[in-house]
Amino acid sequence: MIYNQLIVAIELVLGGILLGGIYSLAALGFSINYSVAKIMNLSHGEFLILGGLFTYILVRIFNLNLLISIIMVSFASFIFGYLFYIFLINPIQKNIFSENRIILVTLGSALLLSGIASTILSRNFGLPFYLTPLQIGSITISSTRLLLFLIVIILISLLEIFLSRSNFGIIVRAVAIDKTSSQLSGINIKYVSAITFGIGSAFAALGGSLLLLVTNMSSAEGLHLTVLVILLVVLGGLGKISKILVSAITIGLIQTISGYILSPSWSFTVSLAILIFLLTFRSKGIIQT
Amino acid sequence: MSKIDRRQYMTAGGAAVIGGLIGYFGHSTINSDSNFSLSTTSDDTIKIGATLPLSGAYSPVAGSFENLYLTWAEMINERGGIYIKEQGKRLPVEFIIYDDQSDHATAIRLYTKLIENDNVDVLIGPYSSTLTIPIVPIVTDAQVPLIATTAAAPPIFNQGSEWVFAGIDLLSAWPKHYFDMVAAKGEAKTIAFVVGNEPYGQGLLVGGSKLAHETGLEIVLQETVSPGTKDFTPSIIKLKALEPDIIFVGLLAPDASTFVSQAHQQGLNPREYHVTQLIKPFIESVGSDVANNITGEWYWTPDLPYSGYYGKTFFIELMERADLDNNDHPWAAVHFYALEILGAALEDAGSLEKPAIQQSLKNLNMLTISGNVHFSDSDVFKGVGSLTPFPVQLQNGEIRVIWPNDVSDSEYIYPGYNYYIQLDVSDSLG
Repeated sequence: MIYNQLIVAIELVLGGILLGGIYSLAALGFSINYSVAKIMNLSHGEFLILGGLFTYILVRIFNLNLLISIIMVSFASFIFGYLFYIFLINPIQKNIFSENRIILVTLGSALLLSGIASTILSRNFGLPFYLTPLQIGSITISSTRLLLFLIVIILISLLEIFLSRSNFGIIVRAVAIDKTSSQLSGINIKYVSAITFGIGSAFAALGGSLLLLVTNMSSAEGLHLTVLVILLVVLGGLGKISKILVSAITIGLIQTISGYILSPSWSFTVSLAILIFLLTFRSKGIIQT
Repeated sequence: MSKIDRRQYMTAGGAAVIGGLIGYFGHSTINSDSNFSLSTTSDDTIKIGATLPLSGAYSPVAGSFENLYLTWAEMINERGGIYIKEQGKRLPVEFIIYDDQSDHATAIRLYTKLIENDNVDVLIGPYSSTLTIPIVPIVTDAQVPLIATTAAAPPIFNQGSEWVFAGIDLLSAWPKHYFDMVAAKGEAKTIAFVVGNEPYGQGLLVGGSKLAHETGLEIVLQETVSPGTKDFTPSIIKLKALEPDIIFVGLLAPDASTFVSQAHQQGLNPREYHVTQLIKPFIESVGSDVANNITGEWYWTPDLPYSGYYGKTFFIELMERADLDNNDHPWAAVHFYALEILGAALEDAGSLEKPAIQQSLKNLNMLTISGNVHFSDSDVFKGVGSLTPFPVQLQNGEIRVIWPNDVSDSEYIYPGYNYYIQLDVSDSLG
């Protein structure tokens, strides 16, 4: 009896950690834009949905290889994000109050993109990816989720190395810290920010594509996803992208354990209650570095 | 404070407004007040009103039944219409169909409009229990007969209405044949329920639990989840610990596919999954290998022996002309029952007077394409039909009726769930 309870407890913890990995995938693109480019993209959920949707179409309708489809969609999303920044964000980022206007533009874009997605495909879509589950004694865990967890760790590590070691990464960070000084140093702010937003968009599409391997999506869920990633960013606080993994695992554990004790129906509600608590009492997030 | 640049406001505001408009129309491409009628606009027509989810959440499942209704009207009119004895002649039928946008407030408004503005003679119900429940008081007050379609939750029939009738039995009776089959097989000992916390799931939970208990199965879990749940890990961990023989999945198809695929990924290994919405979107989403041998429930397959009110070939021709495939739209049969019942009731009433149609419906006992139907008139439930679905199983890509023996076309395979299939990773990569 106690042994069985121990197995359940271990599976719950592992399940929460792996769910955190999946949430990190969803939040990575948003985190790049918010933590580095200082842009709160409220259409991030739609970027995820469209990334997943186009990958689904390439695999299911055009019978393309999954890996090739994900690479194609991520690259296309990079270009889309670059142009999105040039034509929509950049013109309004020059003045004060630009944050409010960015929120307005990205919210409007969210509705626009959601409409486009539902016009393309109004039903749910998913690409479940089956790997033989990993069995360790009496504990069974999803190899698919484990794979996604490893992917997110690799992606975060590469991003951190890129931002801290590469010349372009150092320029990106300089722009994030002080735009005026960067401009005086001869950095093309518009170009750097557009590239950064493009990278964030590519990661959003990549996240959306990988989410399809473990769950269904629909065009109406963009806002829900955006709220979830805002929750993760608020929980982690601003700063290093790697914090997103810690906050995502925290939320994953809370949702899995509360879902077990109460019901899966309560998972999101419990998470939102935590968000409201944090916004009220710890606006800088709970994860301190 | 800087002046806000006009061009920047235009950019921001324009994106928001255009986004809003396109977002809105993306979700509802058809104005809900536009009707789609097969026009034979004379006073000598039988006016039938209905709404369908031509947009919104239910549209992928039921939006195309507009074609079913209009083609049925076309085929009936080709025969000269429906014979109304009081007028001594056949009258053509006219369908007035609105888009309820899968929204109950819109459905309420449109059914009121059908009654008050369009003066319909009889109504066909909307898709789903959720949309049908709030319509009941409206048709009851107006005293217009309504024949419900894919709606079988108890709150539709326990409001005491004498004006609402449905071909199918209560949701709680849905799995009746299934549990008969499980009892006859006698191998399963334990069962767990995973259902939605909406009328569909709750109806199945109530009925399924009662039937499971009567069958002698031990119920090890009754898990209720919200529609749209994205991660079932907590439920899957519970189920892995409890090891039920059967997992009864009373979720709508998108949620059912998320649950089964995640359970498969996480190594849950029951002897049988029973998925009440074993329909094509579920099978495609989960993958036919994983879905193989999963049992479900269907109301009609071409192999059933019943001729129905218009003849089985009529329904097959109707589906062809309406460009509907039974595998894609297994609920089409349930919507067709409403049309069979409507035709029979009108001919039997011999009048377009609403009380006469109501009385005819109350007394009706007729053969549909899925067997005999009549309506209950108890103190608790009024107007409930007697049709229940047949247990089916996906066997090598084909839906097979597996029970009762007199209508089945294949053997029930138990244990059927093939967890130990080893999928090649390169196959998954496509």
